[in-house]
Amino acid sequence: MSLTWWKFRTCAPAGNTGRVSACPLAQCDSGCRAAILRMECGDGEASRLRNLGLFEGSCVTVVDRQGSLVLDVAGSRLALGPAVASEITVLPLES
Amino acid sequence: MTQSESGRTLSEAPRTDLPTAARSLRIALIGNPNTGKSTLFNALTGMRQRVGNYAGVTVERIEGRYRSESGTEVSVLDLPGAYSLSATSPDEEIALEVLLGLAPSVPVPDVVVLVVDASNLERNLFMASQVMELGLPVVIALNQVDAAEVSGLRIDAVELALTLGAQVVATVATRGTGLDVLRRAVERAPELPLPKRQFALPELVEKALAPVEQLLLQSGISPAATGMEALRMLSVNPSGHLSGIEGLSEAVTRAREEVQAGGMHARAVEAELRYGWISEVINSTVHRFGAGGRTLTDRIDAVVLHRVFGPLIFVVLMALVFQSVFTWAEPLMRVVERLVGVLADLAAGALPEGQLQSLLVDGVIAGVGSVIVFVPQIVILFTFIGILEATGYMARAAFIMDRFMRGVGLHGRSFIPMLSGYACAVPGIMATRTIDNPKDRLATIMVVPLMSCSARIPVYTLLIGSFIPATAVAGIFNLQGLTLLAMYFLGTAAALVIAGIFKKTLLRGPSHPMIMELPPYRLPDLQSLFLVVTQRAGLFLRRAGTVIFALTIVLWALATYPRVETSDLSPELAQEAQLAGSYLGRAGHLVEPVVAPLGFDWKIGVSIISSFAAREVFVATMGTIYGVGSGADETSSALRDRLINETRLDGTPAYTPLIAIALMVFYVFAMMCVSTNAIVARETGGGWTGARWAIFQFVWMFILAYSAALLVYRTGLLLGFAG
Repeated sequence: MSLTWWKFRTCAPAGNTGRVSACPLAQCDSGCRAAILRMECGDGEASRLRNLGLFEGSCVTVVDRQGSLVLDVAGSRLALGPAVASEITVLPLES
Repeated sequence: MTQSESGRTLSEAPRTDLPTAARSLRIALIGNPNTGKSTLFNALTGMRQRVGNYAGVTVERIEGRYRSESGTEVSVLDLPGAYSLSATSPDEEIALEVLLGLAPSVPVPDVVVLVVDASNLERNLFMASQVMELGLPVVIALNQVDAAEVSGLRIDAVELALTLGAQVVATVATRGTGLDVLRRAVERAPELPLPKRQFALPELVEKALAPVEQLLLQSGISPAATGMEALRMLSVNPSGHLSGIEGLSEAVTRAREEVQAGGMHARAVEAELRYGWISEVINSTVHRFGAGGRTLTDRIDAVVLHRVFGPLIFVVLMALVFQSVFTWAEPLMRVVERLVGVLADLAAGALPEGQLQSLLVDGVIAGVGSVIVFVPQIVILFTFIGILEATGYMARAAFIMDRFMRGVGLHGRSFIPMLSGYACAVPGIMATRTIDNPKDRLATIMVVPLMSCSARIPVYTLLIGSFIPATAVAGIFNLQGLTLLAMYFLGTAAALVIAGIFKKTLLRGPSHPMIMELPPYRLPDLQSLFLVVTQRAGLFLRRAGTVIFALTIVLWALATYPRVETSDLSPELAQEAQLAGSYLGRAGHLVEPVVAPLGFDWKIGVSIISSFAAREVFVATMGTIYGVGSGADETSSALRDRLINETRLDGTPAYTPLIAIALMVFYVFAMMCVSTNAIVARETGGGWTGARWAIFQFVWMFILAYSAALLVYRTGLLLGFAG
């Protein structure tokens, strides 16, 4: 994954001084593209997500957000509940 | 697109052992959900299919067969759809065990057909890469190439075959394209070199996994599969067929620590390696010519998953389904009943009057009739569920309902089975198969029979019609209608509350957050739809039919013996006297002390006992007892009049509105349906495990029903209503 830091943009600007800011996937808006940094959900869920194409270092796009998320993961649509989406830390990328 | 076969065949030595006589091959179909795998299976095997269960689990085992051009008998096993071989669900576990030859009574397949969705190659290749490391001959069916073209993807099948080291056949299962090529590739596959891992492990990972592989080898895992098994262990803990291996957990933990110490994320290593390799494969084989962007599916979803329109569309669709099950099934059920009646008349005419005639007409034919009368509802409901499933809407319905159902501790997918329960618990329970988490599925099965099904309607109608006045309430409503609504509401509320209780106690487990693929919308394949519906109906007839059949004969015997001398009585009175003197009638007197606290007399007791097999029998038994003939139905005014005018020895009315309500509450909660018992036993694992769940459900529902009826009756008395 050849991501460069200046492409990142902050997603929670308040109180943030750094140029790079990680945030939970649950906070990303529709249309936001993000790189997965960490998955702090249970091992079982993390394993399922990886098998579905969502793993540390992969990029996803938020297609729809209304409590639950609909993501574009490698061309397929994946629905995530709010609980698991808040346990995934991402770096939002410039859209 | 060209139908391509592997270029590797060219480098092969000429085959000298080409079979001339008929031989047989066993193949297994494996693939992600929504790849068209089942459609491909149906297209390959046609109607020659068998559905069963894998030993000890509720995973469906679907087998079929076909004969190839060269006369080879090929038996095809359709493995459950899975996203990986990581064995994190019962479906995946079974798929892996079959491929490793560890599943009881399932031999290792000779050839694995990997069904891969051409429009979603990246995700599909994950499991493909795992399967190709197991040392089995593999043929890749690159399915739905037409859909891929539409979305602007063209896949170089020749290049893909060279890269993967296995034959690749482009197919469109819905149109039957590529099937002949696929069949030929399957026959050739055993003679080709076996596919193997196409990427190298980092040295660190290889060293860390060496002890794990050693341990797996020693414990008898096939040498060809240890590499895949060891790598998978980094991300998931040993379970299933690996749980018994001594020291494996410790070895895996050490390997993870070693990988972690080397600066890699141990649990993510497998995904990183496989997807890293996959992205190279994609780069060299997939050509994008369309402008990606919003697909048709995205545009439909913008409406279907809309905050406001989404739930609205969902409610309208569900109302339509529900209404159709009721209204369309009704005339069909009448036809079935009439046919059964005609058959009974024929049998009655053909046989001399006597016990044999009675056994055949009142026992066998009536019993079988009470089973097949459910078939129209099952067929209609599963046609709808099949369409919703095949088009891709089912996943959206689960998505929309997820938040609501999560409130009571269930999953979005529990909604459809519960809704189906309003029509009939049997198809509702069969529909729980779409719930992948076993505990959620069990909790749903436990509460589906609380939804007031159509078999309760005759009971409600008889009692409401007789004892609840048709008083107008608030102008537009009617007390009778409101009572009926209250019964439905009572069952539904209880189902939701009790599901929540089960999920917090007996079926407690880690909550499974929603992680669900929303497949692209597709037109349903009619052949597959037809097969699903007929399989469901057949399953119901075979399994539930046998049990009901046996029980109705037992009930018939209990109501018929011992014979009572009735020759000097009119036919109606004779029937009443016979019933009163039979074992069933005696049982009614026996249970009278038990039902008396609820305000019920022995006649209600008999009717309840006789309706253990099916609730609607209550009405017929009441009809028999009150001498208006067993042909009475819930709208029969003769029966209503008898009930209203029935008095006790002291002259007070035998039945009051309070007793009627207590009785209805009893029927809301009580599990009085042998078909449901049978299907619960089957769907919760079959055998003794299933029987235990079915008995447990029967008992708790009976206790609930008894307590609720007691509470209603006693509270009513205290409030001064006439008992």
